[in-house]
Amino acid sequence: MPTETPKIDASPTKDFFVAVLVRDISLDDAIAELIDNSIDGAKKLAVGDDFSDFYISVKFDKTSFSIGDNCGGIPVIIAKDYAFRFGRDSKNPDDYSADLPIGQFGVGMKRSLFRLGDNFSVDSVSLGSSFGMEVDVNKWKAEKEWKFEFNNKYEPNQNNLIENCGTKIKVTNLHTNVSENFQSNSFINGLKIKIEDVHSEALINGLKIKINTIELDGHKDELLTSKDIKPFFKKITIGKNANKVEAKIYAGISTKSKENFGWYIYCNGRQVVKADKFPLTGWGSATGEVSVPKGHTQFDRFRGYVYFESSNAFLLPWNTKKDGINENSEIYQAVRLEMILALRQLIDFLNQLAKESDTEDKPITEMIGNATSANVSDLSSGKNTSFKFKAPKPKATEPMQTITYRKPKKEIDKAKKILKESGEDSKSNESVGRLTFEYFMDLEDES
Amino acid sequence: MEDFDYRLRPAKSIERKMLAESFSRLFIFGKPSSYQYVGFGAIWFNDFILFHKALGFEKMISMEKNKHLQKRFEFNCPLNCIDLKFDHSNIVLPTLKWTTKTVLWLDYVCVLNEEVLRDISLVSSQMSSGSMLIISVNAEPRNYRAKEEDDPQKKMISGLKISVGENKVPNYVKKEADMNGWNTAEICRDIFTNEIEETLKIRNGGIVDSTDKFSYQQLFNFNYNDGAKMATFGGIISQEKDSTLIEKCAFDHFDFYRRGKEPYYINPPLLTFREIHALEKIVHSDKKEAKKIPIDTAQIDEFIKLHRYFPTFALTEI
Repeated sequence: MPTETPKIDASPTKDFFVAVLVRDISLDDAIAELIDNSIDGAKKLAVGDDFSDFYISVKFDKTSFSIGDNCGGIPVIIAKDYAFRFGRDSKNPDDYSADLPIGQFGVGMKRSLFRLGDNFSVDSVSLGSSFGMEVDVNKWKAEKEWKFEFNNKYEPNQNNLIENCGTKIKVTNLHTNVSENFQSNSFINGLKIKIEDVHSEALINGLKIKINTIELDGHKDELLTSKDIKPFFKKITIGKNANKVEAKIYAGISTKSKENFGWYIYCNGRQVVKADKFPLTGWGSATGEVSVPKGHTQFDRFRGYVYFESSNAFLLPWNTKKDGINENSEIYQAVRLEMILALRQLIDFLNQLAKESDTEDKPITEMIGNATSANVSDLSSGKNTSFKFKAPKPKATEPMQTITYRKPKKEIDKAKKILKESGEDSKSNESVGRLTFEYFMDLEDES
Repeated sequence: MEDFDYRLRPAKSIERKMLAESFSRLFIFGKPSSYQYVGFGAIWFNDFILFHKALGFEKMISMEKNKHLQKRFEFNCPLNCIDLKFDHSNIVLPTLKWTTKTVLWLDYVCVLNEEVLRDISLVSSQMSSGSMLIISVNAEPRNYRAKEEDDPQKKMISGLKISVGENKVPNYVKKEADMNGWNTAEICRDIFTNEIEETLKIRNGGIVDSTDKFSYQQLFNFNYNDGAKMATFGGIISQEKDSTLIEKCAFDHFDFYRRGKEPYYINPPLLTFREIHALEKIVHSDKKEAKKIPIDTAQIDEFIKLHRYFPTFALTEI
């Protein structure tokens, strides 16, 4: 009698699944993800850019975490078929993810909740429905079914007032490292800075976000402008209709800052790149002399802002964690060419400005002093513009000549060593020649 | 400012006339007044004068990095439609209006280097359809030798890698001999072409409609010797939807049209005026006539090939 070949059980254990799901997400990212979901809700209800009617309140201590908002709530149908499903179902015509401008990857909420602790509850009221659910993660892991259950607050057909709509999530039985972090001031500060950066645009537009008792502030993206200094602006539209991605690029100068100079990139209002000064945004690679040596402050007034917008969040050039750019994105690479153009239009200005630190005559510094700071969204008239500044009239520079001579390598190396010891940059023979000439003139020229 | 009076360099003069003849075909794309010409006028402005007179370009921009000689350049500028920009091309090119169709000839005297490639990549990312991009560079192998401080053996390969960046050097350049003779010119052409194509590939990534995508078609690949080996290459950048216009331009009817690696050598014979006049008379006659002129056959053939572009100037004492 033929014996039946035994089957291998390849079904995943929930333990393994949860471990993989939370492995790569940091604690602050987990909280940011939940805030994203609230903002998605607010975006759907907001009139234009006005977020002043919405709040998100995050509270935590060593024993519990909660987030509450008045951002419209989660409709029962979305909770049932999407928000608490595991992964995205691309075949499901009722997949709502494309309607959500920020939270596009469909694993966020559950991942965040698993990351925080072992018990969570979600209560949500939306215009047409409401529900509640409580999950004991350890108990759920022991069950065979991959399901969550609504509690007795489940009401699929309602007519609620918009002001009563919102979501409240609570997590208890926090993981040990989570509980420890929640008591650390540096964690709280780091989270505050991160959320303020990432959601600066929504905060500026009136959204209120509170972390424990701290009210968050957005910072404006500003550039200096005047009749003599005009920032760069270029709008690029890629694709049409539902597949349209729009990028607006602004570049110019602002306050001096070693930390803050560079490029800022946003996708649907969310900041994904902050103050970048590396080849990712065109520095140092194709721009050659724009490479920024460590500690070099020549370009510390440069600011560039890129805003990508699309109703289809999948087309945006962000990475899956939404905290950086997908460098391989064709759309991003094409826009990067324009960022290089913008950067290069500013080089001459920034170099001339840097040279003024050694001169008495400072026309560019004065020009900057007379410029006023303006929010970038108020800057463009919709027309593409180059960076322009009124170049000061060049003064006749002194005619230069070259001296060349040959000396034994041993002596040159010795001179290099002596120059290095006195703190001079003397890697090349050319610099040895120049520095020794300057030394001679300092000693002998009495005029 | 260049050290030579370019009027006295016959190969250069021939090349300039060939380019002018090709540019005249661009008017299938648009009127001369819709184009801008951008180049390095130096102190002689020879290309500017020829292209203005022969083709009618009205908007012309000359870049000049020697700011301290500004007055002298302004004094020598022959046409008031030439806009002089006193800065390095790396600084000037990003500020120009690229929505205007452009003929750009970057006639460098230097070797191919990162600064040149930076210009190439920038303009390829911005030029509008129907624009021409041409560069001339010094392709003399010995001029690519590394400085002793960078490579004690002063190898040309090391010098090239330092000059253009190691990742830009084609894989087939492996040993020193690979840069001998005109090989360096071919290497430069490949690096130049690759830079344009790479940039256009990225630029096209941001374009959805395939008829709007850009491509580059090489038209020129000149090699000539002006005391040093020089190479000029370039072509037209256009969108797919304009491909029929390019066909109408019929650039391939020119003898000097070169689509690929194979160069067109400009090697003008050294002739007296009497010889030039005698040869001009028999250009369209049969070979027997030519034999009456006491000049080497190869030189006669070369003259016949180039005669329409042959320089007719004379250096005179005033």
